[in-house]
Amino acid sequence: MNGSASSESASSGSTLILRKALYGLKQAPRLWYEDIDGYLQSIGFRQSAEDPNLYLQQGVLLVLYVDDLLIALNGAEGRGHQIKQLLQKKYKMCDLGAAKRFLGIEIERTKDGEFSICQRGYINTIIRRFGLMDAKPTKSPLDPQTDLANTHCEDKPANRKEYL
Amino acid sequence: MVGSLMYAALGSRPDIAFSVTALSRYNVQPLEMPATAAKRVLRYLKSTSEFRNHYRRLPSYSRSDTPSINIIGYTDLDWAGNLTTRKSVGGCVFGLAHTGANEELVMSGLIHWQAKSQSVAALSTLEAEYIACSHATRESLWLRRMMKEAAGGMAVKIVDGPVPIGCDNQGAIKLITSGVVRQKSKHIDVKYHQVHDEQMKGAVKFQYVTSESNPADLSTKPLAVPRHEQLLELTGLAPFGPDDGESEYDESGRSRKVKGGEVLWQRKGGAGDKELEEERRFLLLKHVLASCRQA
Repeated sequence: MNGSASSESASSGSTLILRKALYGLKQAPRLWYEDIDGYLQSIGFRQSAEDPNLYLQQGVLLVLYVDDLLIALNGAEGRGHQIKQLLQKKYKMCDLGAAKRFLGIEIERTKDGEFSICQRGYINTIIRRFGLMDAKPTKSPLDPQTDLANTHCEDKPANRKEYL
Repeated sequence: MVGSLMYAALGSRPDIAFSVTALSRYNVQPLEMPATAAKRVLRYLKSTSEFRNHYRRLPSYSRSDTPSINIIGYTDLDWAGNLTTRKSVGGCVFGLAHTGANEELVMSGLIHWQAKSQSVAALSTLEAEYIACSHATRESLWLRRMMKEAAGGMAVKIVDGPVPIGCDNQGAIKLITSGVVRQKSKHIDVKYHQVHDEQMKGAVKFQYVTSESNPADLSTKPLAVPRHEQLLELTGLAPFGPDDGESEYDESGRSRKVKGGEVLWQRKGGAGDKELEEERRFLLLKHVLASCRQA
């Protein structure tokens, strides 16, 4: 890494070694992942062979997505509490209590232990993003009479940025 | 827009999975017509933003200390659905299985779904269905393995034995169970015969369901409103859970959501046979016209 102007001791041509990851650096996400992965494994979690974002230990499931964690417990409430304390000791994180939202997916629970997931909030956000708040609602996602495959030649190009 | 729709389709909405697959074909070269269609999907989401996947309590919870979980899948396809390439779209849905009134397994709470354009142009519906079954088999193997691993440290048991997968093509089921390759199926690629192998090993069990009651239909083709709503009912996607105390069923079995005496949402009855028949005729005509144009 080339020395920046902010370092007085670094004359042009010399190299500085960063001892820590900086926010926004190319290497930062990888280092963060190594750090949290190592820590989770050190407190007794085993990484799932089927999905690397899933960590397991007796009675505890933990889902990791960058810096969001979701913990599921079954008969190991004490251990769950302990894990949360261990995590809070190492990282500055908050315990949001019983899960209500994870990655934009809303989790709702009824009294008798049933639950449902929906993306109401996310859907409203994307409707606002594309300015369709006042558009007429429909009852099916695609019209069976529009033939999507036959538009190749005659159609005008659409705004690529908006389409993707 | 397609990217935003994709996250919804992956997160909780199998009902728009096919739409997103179809629209993604235009990612290379976006055109006005698919852009308008994408807006329609958003308008659909607007009217159904409350729809949720509900996971019912497993009945075995009350019976034993270690409840068992079973999964059930369905697969379907739209043969030669892509009119340009004549490739088929295959789809599968997997859900938690409950035991119904006659000891049969009933799907409740979707856990996994997929809509996928097949990589080869299939010559017959049998071949396309066979390929779709092969995809579904691979998905079920992965699902089962992951669930088993996750259940390892938990006080639940994943049921052993074959994963039941519903399929509405008798010929494909025969081919899967017999493995006998005949004149019209001898060209099918070796890799798809894995499904016969897994059936013999007892990892999956393909069984017949009528096309009417196959929920995977939802993720393979665009459908008219009555059939779409019928399939939403089959997959259990609804703006409320079955037992949240706010929903009720009227005398004809149609569900509706009521809050403070006011009807917030009401599901219409199943598809009328007449409407379905008309839709089928129309689609047939469209396919004939399209092939004339190509010829």
